[in-house]
Amino acid sequence: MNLLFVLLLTLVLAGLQARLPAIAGLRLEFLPALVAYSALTFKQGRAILCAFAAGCLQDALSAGPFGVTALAYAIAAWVIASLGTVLDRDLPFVPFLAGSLAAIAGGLGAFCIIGVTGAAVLKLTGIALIAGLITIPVFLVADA
Amino acid sequence: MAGWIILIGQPTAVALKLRRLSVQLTTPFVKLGDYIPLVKSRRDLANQNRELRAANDLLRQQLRAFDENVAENLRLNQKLAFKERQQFRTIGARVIGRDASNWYRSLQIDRGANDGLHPDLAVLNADGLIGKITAVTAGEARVLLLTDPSCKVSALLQGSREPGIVAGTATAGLQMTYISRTAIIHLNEPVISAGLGGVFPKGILIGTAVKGRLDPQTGLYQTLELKPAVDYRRLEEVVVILE
Repeated sequence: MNLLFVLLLTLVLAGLQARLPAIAGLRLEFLPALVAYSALTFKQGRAILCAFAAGCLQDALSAGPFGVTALAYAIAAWVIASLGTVLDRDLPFVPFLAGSLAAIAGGLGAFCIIGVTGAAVLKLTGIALIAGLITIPVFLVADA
Repeated sequence: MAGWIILIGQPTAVALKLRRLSVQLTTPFVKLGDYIPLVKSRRDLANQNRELRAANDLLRQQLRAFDENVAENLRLNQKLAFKERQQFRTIGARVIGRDASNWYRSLQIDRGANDGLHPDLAVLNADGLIGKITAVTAGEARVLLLTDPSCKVSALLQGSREPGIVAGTATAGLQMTYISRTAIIHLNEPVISAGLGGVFPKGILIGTAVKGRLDPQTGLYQTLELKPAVDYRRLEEVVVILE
C-alpha cells in the first residue's frame, strides 16, 4: 500500500472517528492502527510523516491543544519503526503491541494537558487494548 | 522537531494555519457521516412520538404559567424602574462531529467565522447550557462541552443563591465546587449560570443538584454532584449567543 493511499485512509478514518459515539466513555480510535501500520511498513521518515499527519488531523478534530497528539504519534512511529527491524510484523501480537503503543503515546500526550488520575490510567488501558485489537484487522486488510 | 516541542499547543501563526488546513481537509469526511443511514425501528419511533406528545403537553402548561410570570415580572420591573434586559442575538448551528479524541469533550458545528462566530461565545439549547466556542475556522467551530474538566463556569443554586464553580468530571458528569460549607442544598435544586466572567449569560440552566458533600481534603466548602440539564450524547442542533 503506498504512502498517498495511507494518508487518504487516515483522512477518512479521522473523519469517521469524529462521528462515532463513545461507548462507555471510550471512542474507537483508528488512527493508532494507521500509525502502527505506517511504522511497520514504510521507511522511518515516511512513517513519522504519516504519524505526524494523523496526529494533526486528530488534534484538529479535538479540543486539545494543536500538536500534542501529532508529536506523540510521531515519537511512537519513530520508536516502532526503530524496533521494526527486529520484529516480525506477520505475528499477530506485533501489530497488537504496536497499535497499543501508539494509543498509549497519544494518551501520554493528553496526560500532559489534563493531568494523571487513576481513572485516566484505567481509561488509557482500555483505549490501548481496543486500539491493539483494531490494529490486527487493519494490517490484514491493508496487506491484502 | 525541537521547535515543535517548544511551540506545542501555542496559537502561533504556523499552528493556526496547520490546524485550519487539517480542519478543511477532514471536515468533508466528517460530513460524510450524514450519509450513513440510521434506521430506527417502528417501536422506537412510536415511543419517541409518545414522549414528544407528553413533553408538548407539559410545555404548553408551563408556557401558560410562564406568560403569567412574564406579565407580572414586567409590571414589577416597571415599578422598580429597572433597565430593560438586553435580548441575545443568536444563531442556530448543526452538530457535524464530536471530539475525535478520547481525552477531551467537544463538538464540531457547521457555523464559523463567516457567520460571526469567535472563541468564547456561549452555546446552549432549549434544555440548558452546553459549553463555549474554543476554536473557529471560516465554516466550522469547535465547542468545548461543560462536561470537559477544563471548561469552568461560575454558577448559582437557584433557590438559595449560593455561588460556586461548575466544571466537568473525569466520568463525563458535572460537579459544583466552592459552595459555602453552611449552605443548605435541596435535592433537585436547579443550578444556573451566574453571569460572571463575561462568557456565559446569567440565568441559563446547567443542571440539578444530586448529592452534596463536604470537601474531604479541606472541609472548607461543599462539592455538589449535578445531573446535567442537557443530554450531551444526543446533541444535534445548538444555539450560539453572538452578543
